Amino acid sequence: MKWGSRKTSVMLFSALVVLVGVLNGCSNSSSSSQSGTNGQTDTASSSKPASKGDTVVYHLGETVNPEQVTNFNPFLATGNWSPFFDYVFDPLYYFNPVKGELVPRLADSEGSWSEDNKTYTVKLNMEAKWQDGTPLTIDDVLYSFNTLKDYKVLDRYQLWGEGRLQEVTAQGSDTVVFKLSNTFPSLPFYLTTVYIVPKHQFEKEDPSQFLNKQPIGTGPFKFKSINESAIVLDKNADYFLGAPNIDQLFVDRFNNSSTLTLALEKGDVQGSTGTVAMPSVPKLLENPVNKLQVYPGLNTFSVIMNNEKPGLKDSAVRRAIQLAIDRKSLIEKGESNGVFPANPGFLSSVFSDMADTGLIDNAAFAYNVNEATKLLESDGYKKNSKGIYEKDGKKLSFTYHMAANAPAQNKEGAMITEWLKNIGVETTVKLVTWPELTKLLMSGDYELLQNGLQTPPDPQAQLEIFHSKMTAPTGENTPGLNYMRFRDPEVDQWLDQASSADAATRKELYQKVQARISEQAPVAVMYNVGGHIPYRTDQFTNYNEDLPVTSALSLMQVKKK
Amino acid sequence: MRYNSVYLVKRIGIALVTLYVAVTLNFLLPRLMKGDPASALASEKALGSQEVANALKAQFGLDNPSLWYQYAKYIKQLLHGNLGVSYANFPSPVADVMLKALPWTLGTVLTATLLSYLIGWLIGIRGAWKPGSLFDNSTLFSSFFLSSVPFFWIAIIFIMIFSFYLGWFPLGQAVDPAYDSFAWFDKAKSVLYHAFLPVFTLIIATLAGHILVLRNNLMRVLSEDYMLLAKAKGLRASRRKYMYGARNALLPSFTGLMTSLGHVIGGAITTEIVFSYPGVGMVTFNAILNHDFPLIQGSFLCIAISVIVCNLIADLVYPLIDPRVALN
Repeated sequence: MKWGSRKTSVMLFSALVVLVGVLNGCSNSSSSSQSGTNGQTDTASSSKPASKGDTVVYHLGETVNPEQVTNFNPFLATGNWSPFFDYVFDPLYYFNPVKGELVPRLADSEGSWSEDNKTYTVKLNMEAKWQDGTPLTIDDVLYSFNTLKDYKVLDRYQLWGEGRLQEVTAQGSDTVVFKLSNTFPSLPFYLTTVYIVPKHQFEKEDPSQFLNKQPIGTGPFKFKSINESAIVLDKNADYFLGAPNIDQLFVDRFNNSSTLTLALEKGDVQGSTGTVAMPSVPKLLENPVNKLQVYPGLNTFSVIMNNEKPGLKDSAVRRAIQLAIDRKSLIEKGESNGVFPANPGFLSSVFSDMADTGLIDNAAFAYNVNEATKLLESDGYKKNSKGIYEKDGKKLSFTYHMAANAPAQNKEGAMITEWLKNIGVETTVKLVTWPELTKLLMSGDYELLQNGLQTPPDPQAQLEIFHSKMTAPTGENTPGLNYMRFRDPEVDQWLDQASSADAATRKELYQKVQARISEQAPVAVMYNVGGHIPYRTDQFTNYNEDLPVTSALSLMQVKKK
Repeated sequence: MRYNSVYLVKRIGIALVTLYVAVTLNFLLPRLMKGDPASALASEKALGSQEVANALKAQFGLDNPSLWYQYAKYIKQLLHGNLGVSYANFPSPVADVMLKALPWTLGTVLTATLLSYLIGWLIGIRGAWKPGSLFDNSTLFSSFFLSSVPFFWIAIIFIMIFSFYLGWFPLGQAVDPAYDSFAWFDKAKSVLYHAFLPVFTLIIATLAGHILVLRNNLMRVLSEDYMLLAKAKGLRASRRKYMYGARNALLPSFTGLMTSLGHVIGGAITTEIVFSYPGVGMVTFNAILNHDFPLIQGSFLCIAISVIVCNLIADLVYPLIDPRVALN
């Protein structure tokens, strides 16, 4: 009996020895790599040093799931992680969300409009070179734009749609001419959405199916390799806007923001392109080396309301709902101050020259329970025995859809529904998946729905969300983002005029549209999500805070301390 | 052979019918979810443009909305060994996506399942041999404590202690970011090093059940008359414990093991999320969120096949290891 029990102990002990052995082996690996004998980068067991010998390595952390690295084709909307293209490829212009302006990349300078505003001419920076050594030619640029014409599925923003691009041609060997069938002043903004690809590589493939496993761009970083934990990029020493100061850029892949935030806190990664676990931000910022850059953007989270539904038809009810939402509290408690207050006139403050930012702090649209209930009462609503407002026997009781499996969204939804109760509006919360939210929005089969509304970097596109051409009656799918079923002939008219007007007139018209939207409240805005970029300053310096600090243009200036 | 050909044919027949039903349910279930993947994608990436949505539908083969048409196409593809093209990974084939995730799942979940059973059995045998001893009580108590707290909580605590504060292990991921530049030996080391904590937590979380089942079964077997006879005959304790006791007591646990092995391929989603570890669980989870029908089908098909095959193997092997079970 004694022998048997000893045998079990021996087996258990052996198992333990094996485990310890593995552990030991691993710690050896980290120490040997630290001694730098074999020229390889260290393991992840300790805080990553910024350089290995003479090689300066910058670790950027991101949530990059396996379905985001199945291709490196910038034309495709799926199967890739879009910030990758900013590092490896160049568009003609880069949209800088921090300043709301266009920065030339492959373009030599700002383009010029013809007199009739139907031709836009862009001179290229011909010093640009493909990373395989081939010089950039005008044919590459023409190919990139014409591919969108030839493959409709790739033309996501309808550049070749009605009244837009008619022809893209070359003028000499270094100038592109965009000919439009009608005036389209937003064209330069849309040029930022198209990355220029090498014709000599793409023309042999079907660009709508090409996986582009070995991407060749003109950008500041070159693709080196990819594994389960990182995308590895080398600096492009020949980059035409100047070689980056860091030698290697690792995009360390995580599949959740909490681990990524821990890695940031520990110093394993130096920053992210915008992902961070918002509840951990206060803790992260306790350490003064950690910074958070916040700027407005193109995604406005709102309580989207179906303006055709009983009760919500009434602009007084919609206004009351907007007044019931304490945006300041939402931003503080739900988003740890990592987002921007949204404009009740909807246009993001990223378009600083066009947005009526005065509306953001305007007391008439700020959180005010008394004002909200007053509005409802003056519209004929009376509280019933349960404290819910009703008119003509119809009470203000709505379904409230939001995404399942989204803790921050759910927390904010709980805050909002509680506030709505305070103004006598009852809600029934329903949790569904993100695609189902979209389906509900499109068909109009909802009353209140919490979600973001995102547009390309174009103020016209952002306000056209409220154009009646972008909507359809409840029960039919909308052709655009006017999920609210909001219709206002004057808004339509102003937007139509703005679509071909000069900048000063456009600004005037946009102000009118914003004023109307804030009065009519087709959506109750919550906050504007642009960038909330965490980054560390203990090992690297020279971040350009006039740009997103981890964007390609800023990272190429970043230096090791 | 203890079973005849009728038994074999019957078992395989049942497995095939189950597989067919699973394949059909696989097709229907994702389609019961509301929402159309092409429109969702167009709304997210193309300002809700119907034109792009229609082009995407054509690309995904969803332009013919008839379920019968899609079903026939799906079955035809399957018979050609083609799992289709993933929507969210478009244009990558489902098989490629699955094959990329599978090795990580097998490496961690399979290892953890086998080790968990092995360690659980060894502890269970020793505990049953001397019930109430210090070893028995302490292992039972600690394994029950660890199993009764949520798995993700243990995982997070382990990460905080061993990875964040002590720095013994990485915070997550499957390999070192610089893996590509490693020599093969360092590559292997990196994989093992990163897999250690996920495997360890999976073992800890599932251990208690295995200990208890075997311990209780063995205690029952040890009280049988033939055990007393064996002792009276003067057989060695180890022989009585392993060859007479454990061998009989293991039978119900064997079925449990085979069922667990069948589910290995489904992955361990909590482990994958907490440890930022790649695997089938996360792929399936994201596929469901993205309404990626072909990928959901592909991954459920793999799970269904592995469960059915493991059950079939259990059915066929059982009569061999338990001569009392006569099947014909």
